Amino acid sequence: MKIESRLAQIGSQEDPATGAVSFPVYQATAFRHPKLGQSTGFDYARTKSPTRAVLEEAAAKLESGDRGFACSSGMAALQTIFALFKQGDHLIVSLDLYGGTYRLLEKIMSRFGVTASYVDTNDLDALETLRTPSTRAVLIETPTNPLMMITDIAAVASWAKAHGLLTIVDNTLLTPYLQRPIELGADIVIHSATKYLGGHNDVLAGLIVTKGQALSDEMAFLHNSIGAVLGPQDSWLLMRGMKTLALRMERHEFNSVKLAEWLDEHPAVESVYHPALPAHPGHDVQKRQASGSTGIFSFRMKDARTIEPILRHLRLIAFAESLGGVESLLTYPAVQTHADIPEEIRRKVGVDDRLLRFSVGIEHIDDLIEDLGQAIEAAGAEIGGERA
Amino acid sequence: MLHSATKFLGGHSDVLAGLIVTADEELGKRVKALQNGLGTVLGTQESWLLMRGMKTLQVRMEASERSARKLAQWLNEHPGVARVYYPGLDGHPGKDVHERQSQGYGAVVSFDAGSGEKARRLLGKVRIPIVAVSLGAVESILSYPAMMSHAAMPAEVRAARGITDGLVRYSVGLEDVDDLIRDLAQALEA
Repeated sequence: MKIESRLAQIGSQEDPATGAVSFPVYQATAFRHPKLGQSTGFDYARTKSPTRAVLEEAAAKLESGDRGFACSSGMAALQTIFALFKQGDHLIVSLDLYGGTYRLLEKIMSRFGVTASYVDTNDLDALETLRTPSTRAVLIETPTNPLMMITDIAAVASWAKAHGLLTIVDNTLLTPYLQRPIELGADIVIHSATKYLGGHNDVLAGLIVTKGQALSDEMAFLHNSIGAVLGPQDSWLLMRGMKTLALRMERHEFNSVKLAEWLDEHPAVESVYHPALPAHPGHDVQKRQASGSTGIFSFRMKDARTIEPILRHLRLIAFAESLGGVESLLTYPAVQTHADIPEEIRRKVGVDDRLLRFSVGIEHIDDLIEDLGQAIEAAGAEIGGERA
Repeated sequence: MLHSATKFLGGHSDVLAGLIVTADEELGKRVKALQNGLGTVLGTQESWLLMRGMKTLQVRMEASERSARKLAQWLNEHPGVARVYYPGLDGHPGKDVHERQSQGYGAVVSFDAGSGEKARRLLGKVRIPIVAVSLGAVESILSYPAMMSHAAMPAEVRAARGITDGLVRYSVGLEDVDDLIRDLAQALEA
């Protein structure tokens, strides 16, 4: 079955008792035992909950994995995965990294004696140099956020497998509609499902999908023991969002490519980071491993003084954090999402004070170009009259 | 201070939640940073359901505790019950400390039915309480630690902690206490 059909039908055939097409919200924590020693399959909601179970099974199938786990946020999902590791273990992680992941590793996991090295995960020689006998896993974001660096998942996964390391891929930005890392050799896929999977800026959620029986069993044990699970209402909302994922991603991609091409020609813009642009260094790899582009990309203005007025003059596009929703949002990573990453690391990867990240929504492309155009125009006029 | 708010605070077997309260601002700031960093937060629907439950906490606790005291007393006098664990009963080793530090005895009563066989028979015969894990709800819930919450523990480790095969845990809900006692009486008799 094609992924579009799977998405549209999430949960629609899972409630034989009533035939409900929208799977019900089972707002229950405890489940009656039919007899002592017997179970309906559900005992206590932390371990397994009916609405969440339908979501988890759908996620596992969409990502071509064996088991899915829904968590209360993307960070909760990451924390649950990190519980696989013990004191002394070492991880190799994408250099251009979501600030929250960096914070979890450096400010929390470090206390438990788990260390991380940050590197351009495309550089297999650099990976090999950083590998130690304590290295347990490599964690990849591809594309990265906000600089859209692309990592060759199959190449890294094959290197990792050869050395007995787990490959963990954050697939938040592309979603299984566009990229399925497990099919490329990854062991674990993680999502901040708050973003494209949910898609409506109304539900905070995380997803984990694992491949392999032993790893899936271990993750189930951790998911239940840590208890950072997703509630039934949020599970339902997330499934509701996922039913339109294919349509939304098509429009996100169309809009973001058009905007990137438009910005690429704009005289006030220094550079555009979008893997669909042929000049992008990850263009070929991305084309090989993903079936399209996501709705997010970044661009760097020529003059830092234009940033503040651009954000102030926007009328349709919101100046806000987060991404992946139907509404367009413009983010200023240096002060918003990446404030927790030290300045020298930020500069090293290119998250400087002229960079803006655009999470393109599903509005009409003409309105988006018009809004951004007038904001850049007005900002240029403000900083000195000359065209910015 | 830590809560499984899934239990009495929520009170309706419908919301899975935890709460942390810190005694001072400084510690609070550290916990806040961790809550954000780890992201193990409560959803909005869950937060609302929990508040909705908490509005009736006082009346629920009072009613359930009143019933629990009566039920514990009744069980204590029942010849078929080997031992009752409830801090409101005279003879409970923690009664004095408990009375000094809290205002009530709570709504959970554990008792030993004498043997695993008797406990299992009782669990099969009760009609009102729900045989399930969890506690602290409007519905009475009867749990069997040896096969539920403590099933993962080896029998001798369980026994050393007093979790005998005869032990059952009764979380007293809002049903009429005389109904609960009548129900237990018929189940113990069988």
